[in-house]
Amino acid sequence: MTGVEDLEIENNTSKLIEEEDNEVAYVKLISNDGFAFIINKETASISGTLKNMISDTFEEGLTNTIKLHEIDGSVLEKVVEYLYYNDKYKDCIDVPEFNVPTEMALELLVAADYLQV
Amino acid sequence: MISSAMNQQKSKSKIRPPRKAGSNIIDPNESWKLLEVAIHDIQSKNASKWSFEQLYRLAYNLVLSKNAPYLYNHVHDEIVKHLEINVRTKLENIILEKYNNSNLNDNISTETNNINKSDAADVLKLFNTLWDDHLICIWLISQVVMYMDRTYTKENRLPLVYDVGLIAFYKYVILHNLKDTDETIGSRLIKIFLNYFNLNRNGEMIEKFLIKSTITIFESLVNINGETYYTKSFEPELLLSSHKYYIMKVNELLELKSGSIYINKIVEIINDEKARFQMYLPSNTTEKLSDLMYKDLVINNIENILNLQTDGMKKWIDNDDYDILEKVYILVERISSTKLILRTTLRTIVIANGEELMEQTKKQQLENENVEEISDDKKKKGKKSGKESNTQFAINYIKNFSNYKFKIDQIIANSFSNDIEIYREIESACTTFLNENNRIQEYLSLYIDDCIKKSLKNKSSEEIENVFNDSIMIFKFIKDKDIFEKYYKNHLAKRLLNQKSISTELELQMISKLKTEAGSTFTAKFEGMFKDIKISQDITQKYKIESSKTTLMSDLARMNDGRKFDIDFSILTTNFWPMPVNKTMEDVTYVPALDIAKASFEKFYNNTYNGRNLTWAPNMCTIDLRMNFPSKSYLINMPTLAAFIVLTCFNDDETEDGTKMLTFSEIEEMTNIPTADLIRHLQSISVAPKFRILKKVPMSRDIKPTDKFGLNLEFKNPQTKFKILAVSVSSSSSSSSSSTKEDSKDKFDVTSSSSRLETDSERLSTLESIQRTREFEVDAAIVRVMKARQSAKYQVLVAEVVRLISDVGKRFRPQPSFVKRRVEELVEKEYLRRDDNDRELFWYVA
Repeated sequence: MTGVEDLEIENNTSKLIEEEDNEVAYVKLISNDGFAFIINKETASISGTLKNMISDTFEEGLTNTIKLHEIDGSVLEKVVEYLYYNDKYKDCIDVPEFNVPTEMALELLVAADYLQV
Repeated sequence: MISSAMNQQKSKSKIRPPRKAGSNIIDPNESWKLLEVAIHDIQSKNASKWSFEQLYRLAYNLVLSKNAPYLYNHVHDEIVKHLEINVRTKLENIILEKYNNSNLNDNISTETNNINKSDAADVLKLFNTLWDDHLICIWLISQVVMYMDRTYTKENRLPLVYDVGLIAFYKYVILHNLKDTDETIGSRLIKIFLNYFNLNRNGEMIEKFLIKSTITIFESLVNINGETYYTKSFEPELLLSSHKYYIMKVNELLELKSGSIYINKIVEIINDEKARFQMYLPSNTTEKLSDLMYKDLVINNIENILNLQTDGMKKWIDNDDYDILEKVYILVERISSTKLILRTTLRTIVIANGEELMEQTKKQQLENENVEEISDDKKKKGKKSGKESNTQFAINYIKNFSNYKFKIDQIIANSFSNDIEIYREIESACTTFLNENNRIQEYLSLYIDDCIKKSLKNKSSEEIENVFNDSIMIFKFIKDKDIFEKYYKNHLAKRLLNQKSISTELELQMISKLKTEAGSTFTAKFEGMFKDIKISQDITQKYKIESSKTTLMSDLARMNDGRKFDIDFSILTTNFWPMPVNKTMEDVTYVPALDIAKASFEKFYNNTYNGRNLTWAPNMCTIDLRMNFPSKSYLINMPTLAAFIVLTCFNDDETEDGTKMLTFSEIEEMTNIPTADLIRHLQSISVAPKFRILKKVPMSRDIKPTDKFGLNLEFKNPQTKFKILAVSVSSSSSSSSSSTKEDSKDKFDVTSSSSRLETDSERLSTLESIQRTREFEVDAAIVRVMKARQSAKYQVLVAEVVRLISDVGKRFRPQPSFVKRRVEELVEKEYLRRDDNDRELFWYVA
């Protein structure tokens, strides 16, 4: 009987650890104009620049927060949308088209270059 | 510095840079100032206080504002500066602290106590740490300026910032001279490393990881041309140091002058080294180092080692040291695919062993004789004759060789993984030394003779098979197989006529083995002899049935004092048997009963086989004779001719005291036995002390025409049933002046039933007879070839004749000069004709 109890306690502990891990698995992106997006770290890592930013060494790695001074909220929203789109379809063959509003095209291009997407 | 940097950072992070970086005017110096501080922080492991985004953005904007070259150069300079001021100084300091210049410069392979293990480890550890830190720094820096690398650096085909860091480390740390010396830091590091590495070779525990990671650093260091420090500097030094190490080891070992220690130790070193290579070194270095190792340790010394007399190959073979021999084999196989060194060494040893085998057999012989002499003295028996012991020697020699070959085969199986080339080499060596003994054919035949007559009695079929296989093995080694055939025929004839074989099966088994090996022509005569014996038995049987219908047998029995008169006939086909038709026996006076039997058999035989010629050979027969002496009655088996002497001359001696004496000449006249044979047979019944059934006056070994003979009534022998052998041809002829020149050729003395080694004179006549046979054989081969071809060039003819006789017939290898003489002879006899125009061309004359 005691053995079973011990086991349950252990299970609970491991669940807690998992939750902690889950929290760390997200990163907050803040746009130039103050919009914040909390996204999966793995998804964020699709961008080379973001990936480097969330490595442990620098401030961002410790705070799990990245301030992107170069990017407006609207553009960042689109970027985040793209990152998830990319993540979702990365292993697929038939990929639906990603809709880019014409007026945003140039801004997105610059952002993509900056972020190494 | 650090605190000011922190202040700057804090104040700067509040400033919001302009959003559209490209459009704003940027002061590169201002941006760089910030980045420079950040890089310093990265290098001193304080990066965490910086926002990556901020730094990245700074670099990004610098690049966008076309300040990339400025940034690139500054980053480069910053990396170099850090290496020079921090990394290099630290490294230099520890090296100079641990090693003052004098003590390490050139003595890599010197004794271990010169080197402080922990000092070396400390230096290498620091080196590793500095390197690892440097890698992290340049990695982080390259991440910060990634935008530049992606655009400017690539477009201008410059080394990426990370590579800049690697190259700079090579150039400004490794290739930099140590303070006050002309030695680079790198070369000093290599020396320290190799010292450390050699500690391990000498059996000390070292930190494996340190070795491995240091080697990885050397491999990672690249110069601007893409060459690694490893291949450029480290590997040559490693090879040199290893070479010194191997040579040192070899010299240490060579001083011991012990092959087994050398081989064992070398194998140990090689295994250790291999493990070391595997653990630490990249494959192409392993290859080079491995080659070097085998060259230094094995190739350069193995021959000397194997030839060491006290503890070398010879001793290992003598002692069946499978373990070390296997090690030798593996070593040699690694250094040369032909294994030439091993093969030549083995060859020399086997040939030397061959000589020893001869000596050993002689020694054995001597010991045996000594033992026998002692026991002989006790039993008061006569000493074995020299000839018998020679025969024993021949038999022992073959036995010893069989054992030796078995031993070597075991070695090949156990140590040389049944290597076929080594096997062949040994066979060839055996062939060489066996054939150096020009009587080997006779030895072998005697050995088989002994086996079939005596030693195989009550042996299992497996043992018999082994003995025969050994015999065939030696038979294969023998070159002049026709000589063997000659002896085998002689020995076989004696066995058959005297019924000495343990069993006919044994004989047939041996013959079938010879047949498999040498072909049916080789054994045709042996088989013919068998057939004769078989047919003789049948004929004797039939004759007996036939004559039982008449009164012949009872008549004969009456003549024979009422005892049963039994007789066996052997009808031999002249060609098959070694002894020639001897017409000199035709006049011999037969005992009356035998004369009748002879006539009746002749009649019977001529009725059965019309037109065949029978020549009687009483000289090859024996008679069982019952002799009543005053002391006892004896049943004596003696040569027929001896029995004729007794029966014809002395059977009618009615004088009580045996006073009837006849001279040699009188006996000769009465019996008509040819002089030489008469002498021999008289010798055998009147001279040998144990078998002196006739007395001789005067008593001497030699027999003169005037000598007188009479029955020896005092004859005594412990056995009532015994056998008298005829004195052999040579021993009688040596004593008799009337030596039988004309029939010394092809002398075949079947009545001396035990086969023995020939004396030199017999040997000579055997060889003469073989020479004659060879002439016939070559003649026959020449005619066969020419008949088939009609014409042939001389060279072709010789080659074909040699092939026929040696390879196909497995008889002997005729010398070309011999064939040439026979060709000339045949031309003379007009079997062949030389072409009129071409001296080299011959034509067959039908």
